[in-house]
Amino acid sequence: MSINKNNYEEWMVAFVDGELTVEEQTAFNRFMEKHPSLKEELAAYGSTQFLADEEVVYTNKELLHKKEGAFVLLKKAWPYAAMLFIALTVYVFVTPEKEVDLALNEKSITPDKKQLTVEKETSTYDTVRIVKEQKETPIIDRRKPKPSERMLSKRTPSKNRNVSPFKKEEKQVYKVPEIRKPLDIQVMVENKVDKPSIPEVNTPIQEKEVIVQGKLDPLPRTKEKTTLPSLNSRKAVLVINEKNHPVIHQKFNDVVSKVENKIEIIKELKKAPITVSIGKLKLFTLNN
Amino acid sequence: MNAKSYNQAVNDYSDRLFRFILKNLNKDVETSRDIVQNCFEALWKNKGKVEPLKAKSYLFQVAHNQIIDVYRKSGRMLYVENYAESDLKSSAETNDAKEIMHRALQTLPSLQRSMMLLKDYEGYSYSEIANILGINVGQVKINLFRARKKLKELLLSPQNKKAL
Repeated sequence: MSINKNNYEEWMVAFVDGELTVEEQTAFNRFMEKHPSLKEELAAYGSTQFLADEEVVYTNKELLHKKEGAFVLLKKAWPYAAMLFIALTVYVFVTPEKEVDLALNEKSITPDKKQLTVEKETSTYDTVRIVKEQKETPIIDRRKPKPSERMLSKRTPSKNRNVSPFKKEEKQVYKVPEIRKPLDIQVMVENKVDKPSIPEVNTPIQEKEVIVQGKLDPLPRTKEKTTLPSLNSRKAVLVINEKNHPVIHQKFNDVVSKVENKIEIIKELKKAPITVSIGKLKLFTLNN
Repeated sequence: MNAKSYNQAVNDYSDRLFRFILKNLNKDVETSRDIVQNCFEALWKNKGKVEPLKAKSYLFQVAHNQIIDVYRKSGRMLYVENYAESDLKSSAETNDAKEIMHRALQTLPSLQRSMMLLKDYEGYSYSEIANILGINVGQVKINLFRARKKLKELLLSPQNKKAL
């Protein structure tokens, strides 16, 4: 772009405004050197620049300032924060005892219900253990005080040296009783005439009821009289009487009167039906 | 932009903005202060959109628009001279150079006056002025040329030449 007399004023304004590049400024300087009469006009353009009056200022700038975010929030929230602080202070200093009392009351209420716990043993299912928690309960010594202790008994139980006022309850374990084995039932034929012993074979049986004592197993063959266990022992008594088994009863009498060997009697008994009774209580009848 | 950077912008640009507006509105102080307040209120409202480095240009852009609104409300023409040349000649009684320059500036249209002030007061480039005023660079060159030429002719008139 070249500078001439038609466009030099635009170059002058650009020069005054500082909008010329380095190359453009060099070219403009050459032009001005060639045309020194234009220097006055260039100065005139230069005088058209305005300078800011530094004395003119905007007063009270702080009115335009904005508060910081946290400060603004704090300013808005401080009444609520103060109320919350007062409420917390009152709660802390006024109500600490109530909290303790409440805690104590919780422990004293229904202690029995809380103390019992049921534990199941995983190893065996036969037993269920009920465990009582240790509890200190005051006990009163109800023993009859000895003469030497009579004076002491008048004092409060807590001052009795022999017995502590409080006794810890030991853990009690309750076990479900195991299944009992069946009782050994022994067949007995009771002879009411001679209760302790069976009458001898030779002696006639006068009573209707024949009592035989002993087990079903054969008796040992001994010459001596075998002393059978007494009726007082815990054995079942088989009663064969005329009422229950008249045929057997008669046959038994016949047999007994004729047969000397007792073993044979027992063998015969094996064939006969047997009524099992304990004392006067008849349990059942066995038919062979 | 946070409150801190906003407050910094207030401290840095409030004086400049005030001088610019005051010069544009022919020393109307109250209206100039109102416009300054409006400019910073607009900046605060849009603090999330305006970066701190662009706060100055944003403020002058808002100020220019506010000045246009003032002129529209007052019925003044934007591109008509505020002062007649006769008024400028009468200023020969006063030998104050600043006053002469001020009166000469008032003879310019509002748009040219704003361009002159943005250029001389704030040192904005043609492209920055074009961005602030919402026009293209060519229009800025032409209007500034016309403005300086007119001022030069006024200043070189025989009556003012003696005062300057």
